Amino acid sequence: MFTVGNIGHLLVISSFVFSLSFLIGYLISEKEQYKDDWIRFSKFSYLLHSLSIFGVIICLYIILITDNFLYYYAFQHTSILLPIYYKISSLWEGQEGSFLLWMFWNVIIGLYFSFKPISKWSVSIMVVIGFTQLLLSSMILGVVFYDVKIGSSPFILLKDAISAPIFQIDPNYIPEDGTGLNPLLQNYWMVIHPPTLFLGFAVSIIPFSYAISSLRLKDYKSWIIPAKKWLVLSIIILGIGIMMGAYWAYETLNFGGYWNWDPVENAVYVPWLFLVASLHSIILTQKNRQYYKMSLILCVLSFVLILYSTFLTRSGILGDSSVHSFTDLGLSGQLLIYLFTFIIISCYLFFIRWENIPYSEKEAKVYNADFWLYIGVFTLILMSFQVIFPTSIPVYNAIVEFFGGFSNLAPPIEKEIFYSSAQIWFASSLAVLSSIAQVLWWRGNETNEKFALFSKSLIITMILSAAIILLYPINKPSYMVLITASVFSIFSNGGVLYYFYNKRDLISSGSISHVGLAIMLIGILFSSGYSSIQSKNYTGLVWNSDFPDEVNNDNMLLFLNEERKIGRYEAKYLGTRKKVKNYGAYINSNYLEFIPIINKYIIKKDIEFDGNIFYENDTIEIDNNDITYFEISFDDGSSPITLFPKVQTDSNSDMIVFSPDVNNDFLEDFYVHVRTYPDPDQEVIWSNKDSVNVKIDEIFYLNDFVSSIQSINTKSNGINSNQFLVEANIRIQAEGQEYVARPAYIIDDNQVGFIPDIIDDLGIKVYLSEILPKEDKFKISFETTQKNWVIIEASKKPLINLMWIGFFIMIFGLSLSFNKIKLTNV
Amino acid sequence: MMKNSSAIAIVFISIVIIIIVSTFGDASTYVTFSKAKDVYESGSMSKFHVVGTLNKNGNNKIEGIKNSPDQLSFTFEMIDEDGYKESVFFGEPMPPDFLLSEQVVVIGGYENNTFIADDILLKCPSKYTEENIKI
Repeated sequence: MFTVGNIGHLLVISSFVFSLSFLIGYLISEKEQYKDDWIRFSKFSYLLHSLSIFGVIICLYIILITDNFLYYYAFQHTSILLPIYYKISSLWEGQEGSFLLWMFWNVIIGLYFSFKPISKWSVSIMVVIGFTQLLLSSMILGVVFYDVKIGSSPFILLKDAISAPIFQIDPNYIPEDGTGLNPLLQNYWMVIHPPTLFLGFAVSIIPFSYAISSLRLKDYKSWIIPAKKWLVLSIIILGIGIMMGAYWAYETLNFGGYWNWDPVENAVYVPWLFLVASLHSIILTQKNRQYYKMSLILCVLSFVLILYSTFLTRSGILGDSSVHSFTDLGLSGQLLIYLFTFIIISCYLFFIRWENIPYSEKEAKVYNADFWLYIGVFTLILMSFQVIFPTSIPVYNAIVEFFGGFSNLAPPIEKEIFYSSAQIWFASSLAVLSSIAQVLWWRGNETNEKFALFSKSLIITMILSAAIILLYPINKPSYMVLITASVFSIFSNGGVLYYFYNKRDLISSGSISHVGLAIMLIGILFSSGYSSIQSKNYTGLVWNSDFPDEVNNDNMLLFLNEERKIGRYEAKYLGTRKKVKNYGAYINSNYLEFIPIINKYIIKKDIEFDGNIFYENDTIEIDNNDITYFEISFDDGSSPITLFPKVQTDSNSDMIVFSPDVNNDFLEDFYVHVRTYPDPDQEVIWSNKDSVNVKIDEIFYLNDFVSSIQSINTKSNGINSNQFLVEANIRIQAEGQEYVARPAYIIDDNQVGFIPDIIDDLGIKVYLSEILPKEDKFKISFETTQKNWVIIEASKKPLINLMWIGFFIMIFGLSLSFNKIKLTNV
Repeated sequence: MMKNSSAIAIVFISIVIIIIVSTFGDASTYVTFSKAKDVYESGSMSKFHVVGTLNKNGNNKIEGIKNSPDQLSFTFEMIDEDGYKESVFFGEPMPPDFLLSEQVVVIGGYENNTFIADDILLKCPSKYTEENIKI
């Protein structure tokens, strides 16, 4: 039977088979005399492999976009109401889909290599890509072989995946809705961050392939330039991917900052540093025809580290040590086998070729740029090692336990301090090394008095960094070193840049990247090192004197419309808001009356925004009913700001996700997020009922608020209905605005019922509890509860913009260098 | 004279050793409450990772949670892997998905005879393994 799932699964299997066939084809073509025939065969197989992968993705998209909940993957990752762009990104929420995404990029890159003019290099690179695709496609194979499960197919049926009791009653049961995309991931970054990251992974396979091919082909020289070009590209793409993740974490995920040294972050930071180390090693090799071994090893290790991080993040081994959660598909064994396959093959190639690799005894002189570049490469390696070694602690436990031992080692307690206090020294060294190396590299031949080249930038650095240190003031030794090193790097690299641009109209892309890095380091230093909590709890309420003083201090409880001091601001919580669709405006949720249509409300009073008037009883559509915004104003007397941190709930998963709002000033970000708010599902405790009998338009007091009944409306549901509804339209003047309560009185046959109306902002519940015809009055009752509140954390992140700006400068420099590398015939 | 490369190698290897030593020096351990208490009573202020679950009664209802009046902190009861029940104080508002968590890892130690958590890691089943279907 041909269902989309069967076709998809068939295509998965065919992609696996064709990857094997083009791998073998290319391998034979390297030896065979019928070379052209085998190449043709392999190209054709590769084309079929590519088409199979595209087909698999199309099949999976058909399932996801048509909400076909017969399939587990759709049930697990999407839901009917999800907008199309999140349905697209739901593909890579699951592990199977993210393997697919990785393979997709590999296929695209492979197409480039299989269709460019054939050379021994492109054939060998296709062999490596073929091997990778073979392993990756087996991860989603979903075949059981003598009780061993190979891969996990995304086309598995829901009833085969979960043994819910419903399937015993009705084997053909299909749920009406899926469980949707995790609200944490419902963000535009989810649409672009994973594809960028996986493209980075895919591109980094090429420098690796060149290194492996160099060993296989015993050609140690001609791979350098193309590998360098691909290295630069992978550094750019992976770097952008990482920073997208950092920005996502900062702006939405509320992990507290842009970088938290979480194992998942470390697992991609380390390979990136290794790629950078490889690039610098290759620059050395290219110039000196030396250090071939180092360049080969680094290029291979970079990719092995990417595989290692894939293993770390997908095997579930990080379970207890990461805030990220991962599904363990039971594929750890398979992942481990792949990792070791790559390691063993690489080691074997190095072993048999080691003696052949060109080697020179020549030593780099200290006053030569090469020496400093060489040290820089080792600094990058140490920098990575300092991160990956502790991140791997869960792996050591697993190894010890595998051999029957017992190990209860846990990651360091304060990981931010643990990592950053070491990384800061490496970063400072890099800033200094990059300065010295760049200046000597470009201008080292101009004079014998090398030190003179640095004198100007040294003097400026001394003056400027001393001024910053004294005036800011910076009082930690490591921070002083980093700021001095970064300023030095900006001026010496900047000097090189200026000198050459003036003299020879030449742009040193390396200098640009290094200036960018230094600016970035300054941004990181201030935004992290001097990030300060503004919402210190000064109320002096200590709940329990047994507890230490330092706790209970960083968050502030704000009651609605009550001012509290936060930093230099008077902060005031103004209530919950919904975002109006197509207008970008926020509307007080108390002005909205619920109707049972998704994302739609009736508005209770006339409202105007941006010149558009909405009238009472109009229907209004909001962006996403699961998202509630908290309007908080901050007034420092001169420039008041209003921020809208938000919360997103998810009825399917009970997940609650808070996202911050940031006031982005050039010099500092003011970062506010909600920690908690009254749980809408929790039962509210109401006071005893108070009542008052009033006429229409008569002024009365509802819990001290000036109120009046503006009108009484009646509704009946047609002639045949016995239901009759009386609704009072009560206007309440409170907190500087007019609220509308619309309690109703229902007559249904001989029964009487009430529909109260709740005004959250005022903590009030209003009933129309009696109609008094004799007196021409209405009895209005009300109950009260605690005023609405919210707990926030607010912090200042100084100069965070320098980090983003520096990063873009670095990427700009790398892109220039990418353009400059001219490929010859390889 | 010593060659540059040998000097670099020596410095490199020493930094590697420093990193390894400091990693194991700063690494925490997974322990049970009783072990953490022993260490505290012997006068050390060391901090640990403790793995456990929330205290649930027979009806799967969570017991022993006390929110501070200002909602800015809370205490809860946690059962460690030995089945020992202990009160844990956390000086921050309750994380929204706290009550749904299947497994809790608290990072902290005893102070004034109370276990104070500096950080809490939650493993919530909700989103990551759909094991049943809500109809």
